[in-house]
Amino acid sequence: MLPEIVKEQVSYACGTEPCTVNKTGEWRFLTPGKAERPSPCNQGCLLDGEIPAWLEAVKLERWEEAWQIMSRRNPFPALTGYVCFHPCTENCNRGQLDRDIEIPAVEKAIGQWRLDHYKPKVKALTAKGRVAIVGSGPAGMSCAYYLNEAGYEVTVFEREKVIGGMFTLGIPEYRLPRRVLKKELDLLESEGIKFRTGCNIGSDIRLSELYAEFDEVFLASGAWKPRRAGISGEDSSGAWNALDFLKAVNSSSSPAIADPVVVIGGGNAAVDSARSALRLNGVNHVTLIYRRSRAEMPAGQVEVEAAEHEGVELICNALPREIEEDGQAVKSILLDHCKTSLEGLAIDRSRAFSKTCGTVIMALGQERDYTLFDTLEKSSVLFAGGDLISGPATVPEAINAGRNAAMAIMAKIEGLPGPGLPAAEQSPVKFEELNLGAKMNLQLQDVQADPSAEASRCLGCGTCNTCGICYLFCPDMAVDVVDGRYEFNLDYCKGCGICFKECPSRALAMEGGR
Amino acid sequence: MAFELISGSQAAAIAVQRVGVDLVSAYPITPQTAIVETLANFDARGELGGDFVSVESEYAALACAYGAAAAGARAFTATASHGLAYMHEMIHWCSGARVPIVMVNVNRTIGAPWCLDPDQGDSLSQRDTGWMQIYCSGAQEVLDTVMQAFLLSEELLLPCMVVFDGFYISHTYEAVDVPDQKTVRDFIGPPPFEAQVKPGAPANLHGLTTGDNQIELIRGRHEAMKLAPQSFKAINSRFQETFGRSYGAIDPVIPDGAKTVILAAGATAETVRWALPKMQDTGLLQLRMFRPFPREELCSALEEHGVEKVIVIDRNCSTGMGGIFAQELRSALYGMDNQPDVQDIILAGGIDLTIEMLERIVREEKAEGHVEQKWGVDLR
Repeated sequence: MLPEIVKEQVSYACGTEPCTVNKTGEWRFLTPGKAERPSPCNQGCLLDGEIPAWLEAVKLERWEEAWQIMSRRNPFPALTGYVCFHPCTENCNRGQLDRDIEIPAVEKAIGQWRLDHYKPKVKALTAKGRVAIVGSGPAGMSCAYYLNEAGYEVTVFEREKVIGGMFTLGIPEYRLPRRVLKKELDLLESEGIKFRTGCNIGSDIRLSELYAEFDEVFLASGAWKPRRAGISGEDSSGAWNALDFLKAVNSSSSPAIADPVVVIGGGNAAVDSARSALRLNGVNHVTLIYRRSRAEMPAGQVEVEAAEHEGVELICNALPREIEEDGQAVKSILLDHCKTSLEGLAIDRSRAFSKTCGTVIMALGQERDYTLFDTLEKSSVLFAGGDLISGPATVPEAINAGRNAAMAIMAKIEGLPGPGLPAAEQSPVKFEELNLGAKMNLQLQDVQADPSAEASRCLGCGTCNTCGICYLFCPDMAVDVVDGRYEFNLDYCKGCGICFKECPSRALAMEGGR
Repeated sequence: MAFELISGSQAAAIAVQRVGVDLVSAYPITPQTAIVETLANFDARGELGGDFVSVESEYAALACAYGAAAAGARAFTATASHGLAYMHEMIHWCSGARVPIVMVNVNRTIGAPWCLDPDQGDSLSQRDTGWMQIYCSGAQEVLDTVMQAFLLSEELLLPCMVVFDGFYISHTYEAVDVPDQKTVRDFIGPPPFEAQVKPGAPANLHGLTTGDNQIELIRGRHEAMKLAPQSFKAINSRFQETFGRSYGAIDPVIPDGAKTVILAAGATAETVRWALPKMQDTGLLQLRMFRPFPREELCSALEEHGVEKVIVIDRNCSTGMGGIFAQELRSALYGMDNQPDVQDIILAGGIDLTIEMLERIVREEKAEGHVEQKWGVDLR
């Protein structure tokens, strides 16, 4: 049995209390601090999505926090987890050790958490303002989400019968499961966003009426106008433009099209059309024809590979000259050989060839449709974004545009500073810079099925991932654990710089002075 | 009773094995080597129970034991002479950190030049490190004291050094009553102290503090160590019940009417015990506990018998002053009524004390009266 007096002595002597009196921070002439730098994943991310930060939260199984971080930049991870081309995964430093972090899987898991756990907030009785949004696609949804979250009354006008824009009508089901999309869209409605479908701004309601009724209007009607090839036979039955075709497929009307199918174009809409066509009943053969080389195809590589894997035939360096008809139906397509040269596309008519087909789908790109603006009567600050402004772009870019618009609208209505210019770009943390030797429990690991286990593989390049090395190495008491995370307690930091030197993630910096 | 013919070193190692420690980390050095060997043999046979950690130096040996004890383990180490000197910084650290560690030190002269004889200067030069020190005069005492040291150390949360003479005890084989493991484990029980630091909960211990705090910590250690004689007494009365033997902080053997007493610590006490029948009116005062210094026990034993003269056998010398036990005794007696005269016999360099030498010392003391200091080499 320990005598009481000894117990007291020891609890004091072996605690940190005797040391707390000595504020050795006064000795410091260099000060450590968190100085996070971009990771390769974040640098690739079109949304500047704070990827290592939400990976870290998932690692700690703090799903609410992961969602909070994620939704600062991306309110629809359940959707982007499927549809984004994930340039974030292209330069993952972990890949140099074993395997890249499977970022999309963790992103989807956060999205799923949000879909499963969301509870509508009690809304303030008075909205901060009333905003109309034209177009319910990615940009419109994003703008609506952020404004609604901030306490605005939001009404979204959609010319189609269904909401979701490109999500619903452009992206095929095999790339975005409709049950996930439906849940996300239902969630937006349950959060209090009003949708008015089948309402075409310009013909059903004039834009000026919107301006009269609402405090601000955000235009995000997309770029749905197909670019025409300008060749004969383009209007015959059996000739489609890609967006109409995808719209028809995605509206579950399962268009009857004749086999074999030829798709013209090299972008994502072309690949989506080809893969969607191959899934239709009665279609056995799909050929994708692109005028330049395969390496020049703008579509995502993964998508092109998947299309080929599924059996889509790919013909490059061929330009359609004419769609040949048999009566009213498409019979074949006449193509010229061509290649990219310094002067542009060099067409070699001597090497023409014909391809028999029952259907031609033209995916030559979309154009912005400015007829909407014709009805604009008010000369004022105009908020517009997404494909309508950028031309056809990606879902994350549209989400970003919607968010920026929401911030700008709030700034205008509330008299706050706007989103401002993006911060100067820093170089991302390279693999060689990481101090992996300090990670005592680092083991080579394959991709993990469990999202938290997968997130815990993240090396946290340039971002604190609570590895605790600073805490373990600090020879003083200058690193505290606060709510499971590490913070500097500068009262005791002598500025020795060991934490900075040892930080495996390179998320710290030393600055001169106290 | 199961008597075995074993050396003092083996007795120490067997005690450690019987108690059951979580960790032994030690570095071999003459004359302590047999302790490490015996423990290593236990480990090789899977009978040690805890971990045996081979280390690169004595400093590491104690650092390792410190870490283990801070993590709540029962830890043991052993050394001698230069090994102990090499540990010096960690010796202070362990007591400051209030970890209960038991260490055996086998006395050996500290160089230069190299010398293996059992001068006590190695352990005595660690007098002020905050460790308890108990000196043993034979193999049975070694075995029993090592076992008791764990209890004492764990009760006061102060490390304890068990000390005995090189060769005279470490390498001499004696008949020792070796208790069985179950009896010892039942007697000792599991360590009662808590870990200061636990796996998964790293902590910053013993960082920089101020003098204002440090004085309180030092006072705490001092107060705790002053409890040692009383704790040791309680431990020994329990020990007596189980094993039929017991020891005190001091063990006086003073015949009625003896006015002269010889104070000795370690193996020389055993020599004096053997010589007593040949010397009339002379007693023995075996000093077992050196830190804390059992001042009250000493004074009352001397007072009780009206002792007039204490001859101190010092197998050590504090250069510039003399034998260390004699100094400590003089200091303890200061201010006492009828304070006995003290004579200091210096056997520095670990020279042997023979019965003939003892007889001469007593004879001369009676003839000469007060002589403060004599050197053993002059008494052969």
